[in-house]
Amino acid sequence: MSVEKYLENIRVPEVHPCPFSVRLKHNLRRSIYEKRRRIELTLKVTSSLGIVVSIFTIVMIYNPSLANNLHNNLLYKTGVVKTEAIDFEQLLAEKRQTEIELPLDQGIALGMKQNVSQGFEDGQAFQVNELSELPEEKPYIIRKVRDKNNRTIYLISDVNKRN
Amino acid sequence: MNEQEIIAKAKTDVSAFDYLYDKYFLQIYKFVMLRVRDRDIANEVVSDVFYKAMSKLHTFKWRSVPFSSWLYRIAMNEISNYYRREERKRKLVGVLIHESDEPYGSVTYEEAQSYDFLHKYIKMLPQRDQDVIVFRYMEKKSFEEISQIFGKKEGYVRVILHRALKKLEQSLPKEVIENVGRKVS
Repeated sequence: MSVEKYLENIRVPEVHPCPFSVRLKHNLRRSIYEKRRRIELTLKVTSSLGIVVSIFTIVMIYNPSLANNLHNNLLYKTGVVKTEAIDFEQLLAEKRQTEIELPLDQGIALGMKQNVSQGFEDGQAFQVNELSELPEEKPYIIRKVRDKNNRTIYLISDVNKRN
Repeated sequence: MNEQEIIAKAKTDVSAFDYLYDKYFLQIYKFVMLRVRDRDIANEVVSDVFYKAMSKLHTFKWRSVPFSSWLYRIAMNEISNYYRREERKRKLVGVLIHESDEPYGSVTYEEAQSYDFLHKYIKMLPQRDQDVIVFRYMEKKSFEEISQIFGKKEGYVRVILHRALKKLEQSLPKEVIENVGRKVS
Protein backbone atom coordinates (compact mmCIF):
# COMPACT_ATOMS: atom_id res chain seq x y z
CA MET A 1 0.00 0.00 0.00
CA SER A 2 1.53 3.31 -1.04
CA VAL A 3 0.22 5.06 2.08
CA GLU A 4 2.34 2.65 4.12
CA LYS A 5 5.43 3.72 2.22
CA TYR A 6 4.50 7.33 2.80
CA LEU A 7 4.14 6.71 6.55
CA GLU A 8 7.41 4.80 6.73
CA ASN A 9 9.22 7.81 5.27
CA ILE A 10 7.73 10.40 7.58
CA ARG A 11 10.30 12.30 9.63
CA VAL A 12 9.35 11.75 13.25
CA PRO A 13 10.11 14.87 15.32
CA GLU A 14 12.39 14.67 18.34
CA VAL A 15 11.04 15.65 21.72
CA HIS A 16 13.00 17.40 24.46
CA PRO A 17 10.95 17.57 27.61
CA CYS A 18 13.86 18.04 30.06
CA PRO A 19 12.64 20.92 32.27
CA PHE A 20 9.11 19.57 32.30
CA SER A 21 10.33 16.06 33.09
CA VAL A 22 12.26 17.24 36.14
CA ARG A 23 9.39 19.40 37.34
CA LEU A 24 6.84 16.63 36.96
CA LYS A 25 9.07 14.14 38.75
CA HIS A 26 9.47 16.51 41.68
CA ASN A 27 5.71 17.19 41.82
CA LEU A 28 4.88 13.49 41.67
CA ARG A 29 7.31 12.65 44.43
CA ARG A 30 5.84 15.38 46.57
CA SER A 31 2.19 14.66 45.88
CA ILE A 32 2.35 10.87 46.09
CA TYR A 33 5.22 9.79 48.32
CA GLU A 34 5.65 12.73 50.69
CA LYS A 35 1.92 12.97 51.23
CA ARG A 36 1.80 9.25 52.00
CA ARG A 37 4.80 9.56 54.31
CA ARG A 38 3.16 12.45 56.18
CA ILE A 39 -0.04 10.46 56.64
CA GLU A 40 1.94 7.45 57.92
CA LEU A 41 3.93 9.63 60.32
CA THR A 42 0.75 11.26 61.65
CA LEU A 43 -0.81 7.84 62.16
CA LYS A 44 2.28 6.59 64.00
CA VAL A 45 2.40 9.61 66.31
CA THR A 46 -1.34 9.46 66.97
CA SER A 47 -1.33 5.75 67.71
CA SER A 48 1.72 6.11 69.99
CA LEU A 49 0.00 8.86 71.95
CA GLY A 50 -3.15 6.77 72.09
CA ILE A 51 -1.23 3.83 73.54
CA VAL A 52 0.45 6.04 76.16
CA VAL A 53 -2.88 7.59 77.20
CA SER A 54 -4.52 4.15 77.34
CA ILE A 55 -1.75 2.77 79.56
CA PHE A 56 -1.98 5.82 81.81
CA THR A 57 -5.76 5.48 82.06
CA ILE A 58 -5.50 1.77 82.95
CA VAL A 59 -2.88 2.54 85.63
CA MET A 60 -5.12 5.28 87.04
CA ILE A 61 -8.02 2.85 87.30
CA TYR A 62 -5.94 0.25 89.13
CA ASN A 63 -3.95 2.68 91.27
CA PRO A 64 -5.75 6.04 91.73
CA SER A 65 -3.29 7.21 94.38
CA LEU A 66 -0.69 7.49 91.64
CA ALA A 67 -2.60 10.45 90.23
CA ASN A 68 -2.47 12.17 93.63
CA ASN A 69 1.25 11.49 93.96
CA LEU A 70 1.89 12.77 90.48
CA HIS A 71 -0.14 15.88 91.16
CA ASN A 72 1.71 16.57 94.40
CA ASN A 73 5.12 15.93 92.91
CA LEU A 74 4.65 17.69 89.62
CA LEU A 75 2.23 20.50 90.30
CA TYR A 76 1.93 21.25 94.01
CA LYS A 77 5.22 22.46 95.35
CA THR A 78 5.53 23.17 99.08
CA GLY A 79 8.29 25.20 100.61
CA VAL A 80 10.30 24.11 103.66
CA VAL A 81 11.11 26.72 106.27
CA LYS A 82 14.59 26.27 107.60
CA THR A 83 14.40 27.72 111.12
CA GLU A 84 18.05 26.92 111.88
CA ALA A 85 19.22 29.34 109.25
CA ILE A 86 17.28 32.29 110.61
CA ASP A 87 19.28 34.83 112.60
CA PHE A 88 16.68 36.00 115.08
CA GLU A 89 18.75 38.83 116.44
CA GLN A 90 19.04 40.29 112.99
CA LEU A 91 15.40 39.53 112.30
CA LEU A 92 14.37 41.38 115.39
CA ALA A 93 16.55 44.32 114.43
CA GLU A 94 15.30 44.53 110.88
CA LYS A 95 11.67 43.44 110.96
CA ARG A 96 8.74 45.34 112.20
CA GLN A 97 7.90 44.08 115.63
CA THR A 98 5.70 44.84 118.52
CA GLU A 99 6.95 44.14 121.97
CA ILE A 100 4.55 43.98 124.80
CA GLU A 101 5.92 43.64 128.24
CA LEU A 102 2.95 42.68 130.22
CA PRO A 103 3.36 40.57 133.34
CA LEU A 104 0.71 37.91 133.66
CA ASP A 105 -0.72 39.11 136.96
CA GLN A 106 -0.97 42.66 135.64
CA GLY A 107 -2.86 41.34 132.65
CA ILE A 108 -5.30 39.54 134.88
CA ALA A 109 -5.74 42.71 136.90
CA LEU A 110 -6.57 44.58 133.76
CA GLY A 111 -9.11 41.93 132.78
CA MET A 112 -7.19 40.85 129.70
CA LYS A 113 -7.02 37.18 130.52
CA GLN A 114 -9.78 35.46 128.75
CA ASN A 115 -10.34 32.02 127.36
CA VAL A 116 -11.37 31.80 123.74
CA SER A 117 -14.20 29.44 124.65
CA GLN A 118 -15.56 31.90 127.21
CA GLY A 119 -16.74 34.27 124.52
CA PHE A 120 -16.06 37.86 123.62
CA GLU A 121 -17.39 41.12 124.90
CA ASP A 122 -20.37 41.11 122.57
CA GLY A 123 -21.52 38.03 124.40
CA GLN A 124 -21.42 35.60 121.52
CA ALA A 125 -20.02 32.23 122.47
CA PHE A 126 -17.10 31.11 120.35
CA GLN A 127 -17.11 27.37 119.98
CA VAL A 128 -13.84 25.60 119.23
CA ASN A 129 -15.51 23.15 116.89
CA GLU A 130 -16.57 26.07 114.69
CA LEU A 131 -12.95 26.81 113.79
CA SER A 132 -12.93 24.25 110.99
CA GLU A 133 -15.92 25.95 109.38
CA LEU A 134 -14.33 29.38 109.28
CA PRO A 135 -12.67 30.39 106.01
CA GLU A 136 -8.96 30.95 106.28
CA GLU A 137 -8.10 34.51 105.40
CA LYS A 138 -4.38 34.44 105.82
CA PRO A 139 -1.94 31.98 107.37
CA TYR A 140 0.82 32.94 109.77
CA ILE A 141 3.74 31.13 111.30
CA ILE A 142 4.35 31.68 114.96
CA ARG A 143 7.82 30.98 116.30
CA LYS A 144 8.71 31.05 119.93
CA VAL A 145 12.31 32.08 120.54
CA ARG A 146 14.32 33.16 123.54
CA ASP A 147 16.74 36.09 123.48
CA LYS A 148 20.00 36.65 125.40
CA ASN A 149 18.14 38.12 128.34
CA ASN A 150 16.12 34.93 128.62
CA ARG A 151 13.00 36.65 127.43
CA THR A 152 10.42 34.74 125.42
CA ILE A 153 9.65 36.30 122.05
CA TYR A 154 6.92 35.20 119.69
CA LEU A 155 7.63 35.93 116.05
CA ILE A 156 4.63 36.09 113.78
CA SER A 157 5.51 35.82 110.10
CA ASP A 158 3.30 36.20 107.08
CA VAL A 159 2.98 33.19 104.87
CA ASN A 160 2.24 33.76 101.24
CA LYS A 161 0.30 30.91 99.77
CA ARG A 162 1.57 29.40 96.56
CA ASN A 163 -1.05 28.98 93.97
CA MET B 1 15.93 -7.07 40.76
CA ASN B 2 13.47 -7.57 37.90
CA GLU B 3 10.84 -5.09 36.83
CA GLN B 4 8.04 -6.91 38.63
CA GLU B 5 9.90 -6.50 41.92
CA ILE B 6 10.70 -2.86 41.17
CA ILE B 7 7.02 -2.13 40.53
CA ALA B 8 6.07 -3.81 43.79
CA LYS B 9 8.73 -1.77 45.56
CA ALA B 10 7.66 1.49 43.90
CA LYS B 11 4.37 1.40 45.79
CA THR B 12 6.25 2.62 48.86
CA ASP B 13 9.82 3.27 47.78
CA VAL B 14 10.57 6.53 46.02
CA SER B 15 13.85 5.29 44.51
CA ALA B 16 11.97 2.53 42.66
CA PHE B 17 9.54 5.16 41.44
CA ASP B 18 12.49 7.18 40.12
CA TYR B 19 13.70 4.17 38.17
CA LEU B 20 10.31 3.59 36.54
CA TYR B 21 9.81 7.26 35.81
CA ASP B 22 13.23 7.66 34.20
CA LYS B 23 12.73 4.54 32.12
CA TYR B 24 9.27 5.28 30.77
CA PHE B 25 8.80 9.03 30.82
CA LEU B 26 10.31 9.75 27.41
CA GLN B 27 8.42 6.91 25.68
CA ILE B 28 5.09 8.12 27.00
CA TYR B 29 5.86 11.77 26.41
CA LYS B 30 6.88 11.07 22.81
CA PHE B 31 3.69 9.10 22.14
CA VAL B 32 1.47 11.80 23.67
CA MET B 33 3.33 14.54 21.82
CA LEU B 34 2.86 12.71 18.52
CA ARG B 35 -0.83 12.39 19.21
CA VAL B 36 -1.63 15.91 20.35
CA ARG B 37 1.13 18.01 18.71
CA ASP B 38 0.96 20.70 21.36
CA ARG B 39 3.50 21.04 24.12
CA ASP B 40 1.12 22.44 26.76
CA ILE B 41 -1.52 19.81 26.10
CA ALA B 42 1.13 17.08 26.09
CA ASN B 43 2.46 18.30 29.42
CA GLU B 44 -1.03 18.27 30.91
CA VAL B 45 -1.84 14.80 29.58
CA VAL B 46 1.51 13.28 30.60
CA SER B 47 1.13 14.75 34.11
CA ASP B 48 -2.26 13.07 34.39
CA VAL B 49 -0.90 9.80 33.02
CA PHE B 50 1.94 9.57 35.53
CA TYR B 51 -0.11 10.82 38.44
CA LYS B 52 -2.80 8.21 37.77
CA ALA B 53 -0.27 5.46 37.13
CA MET B 54 1.74 6.13 40.27
CA SER B 55 -1.20 6.68 42.57
CA LYS B 56 -2.95 3.54 41.22
CA LEU B 57 0.18 1.43 41.12
CA HIS B 58 -1.33 -1.00 43.63
CA THR B 59 -4.00 -1.87 41.03
CA PHE B 60 -1.42 -2.95 38.45
CA LYS B 61 -1.34 -6.72 38.19
CA TRP B 62 1.54 -8.42 36.48
CA ARG B 63 -0.09 -10.72 33.93
CA SER B 64 2.60 -11.12 31.27
CA VAL B 65 1.78 -7.59 30.03
CA PRO B 66 4.69 -5.17 30.32
CA PHE B 67 4.40 -2.14 32.55
CA SER B 68 4.93 0.08 29.50
CA SER B 69 1.75 -1.33 27.89
CA TRP B 70 -0.20 -0.39 31.01
CA LEU B 71 1.21 3.15 30.83
CA TYR B 72 0.41 3.42 27.12
CA ARG B 73 -3.14 2.30 27.83
CA ILE B 74 -3.53 5.02 30.47
CA ALA B 75 -2.04 7.52 28.03
CA MET B 76 -4.53 6.55 25.30
CA ASN B 77 -7.41 6.93 27.76
CA GLU B 78 -6.15 10.30 28.95
CA ILE B 79 -5.80 11.58 25.37
CA SER B 80 -9.37 10.44 24.61
CA ASN B 81 -10.58 12.08 27.82
CA TYR B 82 -8.82 15.30 26.89
CA TYR B 83 -10.43 15.45 23.46
CA ARG B 84 -13.82 14.54 24.92
CA ARG B 85 -13.54 17.39 27.42
CA GLU B 86 -12.50 19.78 24.69
CA GLU B 87 -15.40 18.70 22.51
CA ARG B 88 -17.82 19.27 25.38
CA LYS B 89 -16.35 22.71 26.01
CA ARG B 90 -16.73 23.65 22.36
CA LYS B 91 -20.36 22.53 22.39
CA LEU B 92 -21.02 24.44 25.60
CA VAL B 93 -19.60 27.74 24.39
CA GLY B 94 -20.85 27.17 20.86
CA VAL B 95 -17.50 27.82 19.27
CA LEU B 96 -17.11 26.67 15.72
CA ILE B 97 -13.51 25.95 14.95
CA HIS B 98 -12.92 25.72 11.27
CA GLU B 99 -9.61 24.30 10.29
CA SER B 100 -8.93 25.01 6.69
CA ASP B 101 -7.74 22.18 4.51
CA GLU B 102 -4.53 23.44 3.14
CA PRO B 103 -4.22 22.54 -0.50
CA TYR B 104 -1.32 20.30 -1.39
CA GLY B 105 -0.20 22.70 -4.06
CA SER B 106 1.18 25.05 -1.42
CA VAL B 107 3.12 22.27 0.36
CA THR B 108 6.52 21.20 -0.78
CA TYR B 109 7.71 17.63 -0.86
CA GLU B 110 9.82 18.26 2.23
CA GLU B 111 6.84 19.67 4.08
CA ALA B 112 4.69 16.70 3.07
CA GLN B 113 7.29 14.40 4.61
CA SER B 114 7.00 16.13 7.96
CA TYR B 115 4.91 14.67 10.74
CA ASP B 116 3.10 17.94 11.32
CA PHE B 117 1.67 17.79 7.81
CA LEU B 118 0.57 14.18 8.31
CA HIS B 119 -0.93 14.98 11.71
CA LYS B 120 -3.50 17.28 10.10
CA TYR B 121 -4.95 14.22 8.37
CA ILE B 122 -4.33 11.70 11.14
CA LYS B 123 -6.33 13.74 13.66
CA MET B 124 -9.41 13.45 11.46
CA LEU B 125 -9.44 9.70 12.14
CA PRO B 126 -11.08 8.06 15.17
CA GLN B 127 -8.91 7.95 18.33
CA ARG B 128 -8.23 4.23 18.09
CA ASP B 129 -7.05 4.53 14.47
CA GLN B 130 -4.76 7.42 15.37
CA ASP B 131 -3.23 5.34 18.16
CA VAL B 132 -2.57 2.32 16.02
CA ILE B 133 -0.95 4.35 13.21
CA VAL B 134 1.29 6.22 15.63
CA PHE B 135 2.35 3.01 17.38
CA ARG B 136 3.06 1.16 14.14
CA TYR B 137 4.70 3.81 11.96
CA MET B 138 6.03 6.48 14.29
CA GLU B 139 6.98 4.39 17.32
CA LYS B 140 7.92 1.42 15.10
CA LYS B 141 6.26 -1.07 17.43
CA SER B 142 5.65 -4.68 16.47
CA PHE B 143 2.14 -6.10 16.16
CA GLU B 144 2.78 -8.10 19.31
CA GLU B 145 3.60 -4.97 21.30
CA ILE B 146 0.60 -3.11 19.92
CA SER B 147 -1.67 -6.05 20.71
CA GLN B 148 -0.37 -6.02 24.32
CA ILE B 149 -1.09 -2.33 24.61
CA PHE B 150 -4.61 -2.70 23.24
CA GLY B 151 -5.18 -5.90 25.17
CA LYS B 152 -6.39 -7.58 21.99
CA LYS B 153 -5.13 -10.27 19.65
CA GLU B 154 -2.66 -9.49 16.87
CA GLY B 155 -5.26 -10.25 14.21
CA TYR B 156 -7.51 -7.54 15.63
CA VAL B 157 -4.67 -5.02 15.50
CA ARG B 158 -3.88 -5.90 11.88
CA VAL B 159 -7.52 -5.41 10.92
CA ILE B 160 -7.92 -2.03 12.60
CA LEU B 161 -4.60 -0.86 11.16
CA HIS B 162 -5.67 -1.89 7.68
CA ARG B 163 -8.94 0.00 8.06
CA ALA B 164 -7.18 3.03 9.49
CA LEU B 165 -4.77 3.13 6.56
CA LYS B 166 -7.65 2.95 4.13
CA LYS B 167 -9.32 5.91 5.79
CA LEU B 168 -6.07 7.85 5.85
CA GLU B 169 -5.42 7.13 2.21
CA GLN B 170 -8.83 8.49 1.33
CA SER B 171 -8.29 11.67 3.28
CA LEU B 172 -4.71 12.37 2.15
CA PRO B 173 -4.25 14.26 -1.11
CA LYS B 174 -3.50 11.80 -3.90
CA GLU B 175 -0.54 13.86 -5.06
CA VAL B 176 1.21 13.31 -1.73
CA ILE B 177 1.01 9.53 -1.92
CA GLU B 178 1.88 9.39 -5.60
CA ASN B 179 4.80 11.73 -5.12
CA VAL B 180 6.13 9.67 -2.23
CA GLY B 181 5.66 6.47 -4.19
CA ARG B 182 7.73 7.83 -7.04
CA LYS B 183 10.50 9.15 -4.81
CA VAL B 184 10.74 6.05 -2.66
CA SER B 185 10.65 3.55 -5.47
